[in-house]
Amino acid sequence: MYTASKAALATLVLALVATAAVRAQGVNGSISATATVQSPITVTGAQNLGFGNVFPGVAKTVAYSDATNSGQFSVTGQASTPVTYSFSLPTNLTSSGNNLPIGSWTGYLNTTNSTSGGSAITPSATPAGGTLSASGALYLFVGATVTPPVNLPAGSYTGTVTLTVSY
Amino acid sequence: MKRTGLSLALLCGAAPLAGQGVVIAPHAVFIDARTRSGAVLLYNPNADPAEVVISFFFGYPATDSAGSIVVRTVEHPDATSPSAASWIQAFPRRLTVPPLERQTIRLLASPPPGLADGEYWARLVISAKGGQLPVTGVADTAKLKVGLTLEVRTIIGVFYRKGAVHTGVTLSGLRTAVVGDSLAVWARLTQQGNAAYIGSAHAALLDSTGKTLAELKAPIGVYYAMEPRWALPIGALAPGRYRLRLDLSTGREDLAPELVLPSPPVRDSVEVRVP
Repeated sequence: MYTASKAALATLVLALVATAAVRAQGVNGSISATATVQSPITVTGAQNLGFGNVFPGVAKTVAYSDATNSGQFSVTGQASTPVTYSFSLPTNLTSSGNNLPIGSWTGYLNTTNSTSGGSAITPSATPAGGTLSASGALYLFVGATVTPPVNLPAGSYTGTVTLTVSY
Repeated sequence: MKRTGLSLALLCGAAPLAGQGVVIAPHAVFIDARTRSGAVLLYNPNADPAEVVISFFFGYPATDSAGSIVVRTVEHPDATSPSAASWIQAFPRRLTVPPLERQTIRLLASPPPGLADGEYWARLVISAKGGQLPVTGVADTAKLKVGLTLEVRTIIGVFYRKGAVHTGVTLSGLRTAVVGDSLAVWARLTQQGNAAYIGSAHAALLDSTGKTLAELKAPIGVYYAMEPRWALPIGALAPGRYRLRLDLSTGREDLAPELVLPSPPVRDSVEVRVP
């Protein structure tokens, strides 16, 4: 018997393919309906990695354990499913053609939304393996250090951190 | 009257989330040669529009030297590879999913003439990026404001089946080792037939009376050969002799039964000694 997984329910997402056949039968009516629950996968960038204000010549680090400013991803899917993850990380943040170096990436992998009880990781482009929890969840946290040169022009410096999850 | 429709239940009326990414269903797409088409549903649960880009490549799950599952990518598959990456297309390939709305991606297969019976694979890449979040900072006091946005890429399997397809798996080299408070389990799995073995692995640690002390159930896909490693949490196990049993079956809770190719269950066991 095909049953909905707890993971699917936990995501609060149900994709229903419903077919209903309705036939008039005098004054009475009957409806038959079938539904197929499809287990989804969701990879979410839950919180951007934010450094806020920085100053030329003064490096600034955001730790992966910084609940407010660390980059946070979540993965939900079928319970106990092995997944592969990798990161694409910038080496510079840019603003109008100017570069702000970023590096010393740190990370953390956990089956709960916490930076304790899991494993420290080194975010990189090399694929690594993880396993969704018994409730079908996996969380990744990232931190980094920006090193503004003393002569860096003022501006808003931005970049993108990409997480790839293979299911 | 017959009516067929797609709906996303439970999300109707849900408050948008502060995140970036889309919900993807199903997590594996099976295309039959008779219809040559499939669909993937995307839902954006967030407050910002999601920019989505769709692409394909050929690859399949394998294991690394530690037994972790990795996706082996083949950039230039040869003619003998069961790759469908070059002849399955997605429509649309670029789209924007508004907040709390859904979009359907259609997959259409155009296989080469004379394609032999069997199963052909591709990996579907769904790249999703939310709106640019504002760079935080106090404009009148800060010279530099810095922020990074997050992008997510989700890769799922696509399976194209033509004609008679069958699968199976062999299990060999079952071994274990106590590592901390876990029992590490390794086995060599080799796919049989002309389709991937999609199923579940069930590992159970039994005492001398046959009582289950620890167990683990995990989905598994065997495309060629692999040596996965599982870890059973066993806690503080008393010294003695135990038995580890590993069962492989094609039962999957997350896939409709008609999509899973049946195959007889496979089982092996090995003694575990805890000093």
